[in-house]
Amino acid sequence: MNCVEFEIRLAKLKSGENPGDEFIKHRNQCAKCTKLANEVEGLFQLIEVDASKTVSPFLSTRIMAALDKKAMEVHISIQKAWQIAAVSLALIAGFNLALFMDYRQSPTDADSVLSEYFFAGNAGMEIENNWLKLSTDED
Amino acid sequence: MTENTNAIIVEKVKQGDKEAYRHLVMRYQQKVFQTCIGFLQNEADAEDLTQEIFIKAYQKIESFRFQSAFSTWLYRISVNTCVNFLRKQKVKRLLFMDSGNQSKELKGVSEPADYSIEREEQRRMLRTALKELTTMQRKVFVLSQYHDLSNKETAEVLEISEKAVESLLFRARMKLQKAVKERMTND
Ligand SMILES: [Zn+2]
Repeated sequence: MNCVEFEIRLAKLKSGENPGDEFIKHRNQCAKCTKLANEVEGLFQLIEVDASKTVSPFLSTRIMAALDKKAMEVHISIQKAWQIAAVSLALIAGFNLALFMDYRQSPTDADSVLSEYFFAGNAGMEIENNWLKLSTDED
Repeated sequence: MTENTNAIIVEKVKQGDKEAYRHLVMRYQQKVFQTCIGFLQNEADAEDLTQEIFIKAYQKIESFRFQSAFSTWLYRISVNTCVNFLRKQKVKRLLFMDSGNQSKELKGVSEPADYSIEREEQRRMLRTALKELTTMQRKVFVLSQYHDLSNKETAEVLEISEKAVESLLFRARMKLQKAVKERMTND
């Protein structure tokens, strides 16, 4: 086994697995590969230490409290949405009512002509006559 | 807790029984935390992210259709959330040229009182080497080395073949060895 083969074998080695005679033989003969294998072993020990850290005993309580808070936020935002919708509807209704009242109280010239046209006995005759007269004049 | 029990609890949660979710949190918080440690290399951030992952899983639970084990689904969310967190952190650092987090990162997981300069150096090298990995290599490495999942389980979480897991893990470990060799040359 040479150094490159040693490195490849080292990268494939599973924890607790027997690396084989050739690997051990090269490790014992090559100072560079011995150092590499030791360093890599040290790294994996470090990973093991980090991975064995235990989670805080309060984490689950924290998570459940955060979920409650989120649910409350959603509830409040739904409530707010309803409030905004209700206020908007009230405003629109008020605005329309004001328009309607205004319309009832002060009819414009156009309104007068229209109502005359629809409600008079000879509805719109005068307008039509004028128009006919105009178009005749133009001809 | 078997997968059947998980299914019953998930159904309860879907029906609005929030308290039932506590059982799932208790069961899986340690494993999710280990994954976060592997990605973030920092205990405090790892706990915050574990919390975020469980909240996200709760909000998404309606979309869980029992096509895989609940744990597989949860670990998938964990890995993706960790990767997104790292991406955001990277962008933040680029935008604000923030090196402040670096010192926090270097302390990382709390050490026993007798930890040596050698250990600190080792930790720094590990972090540098982990950053050199591609996203997929890192996912596989963390699930296998920190989370202690088998290649088959890792493959299920990442929705890739076992062969791909094997290959990614090998390449990740070769990169790690390369970092060690470079450090040896510099010494
Ligand atoms: Zn050698």
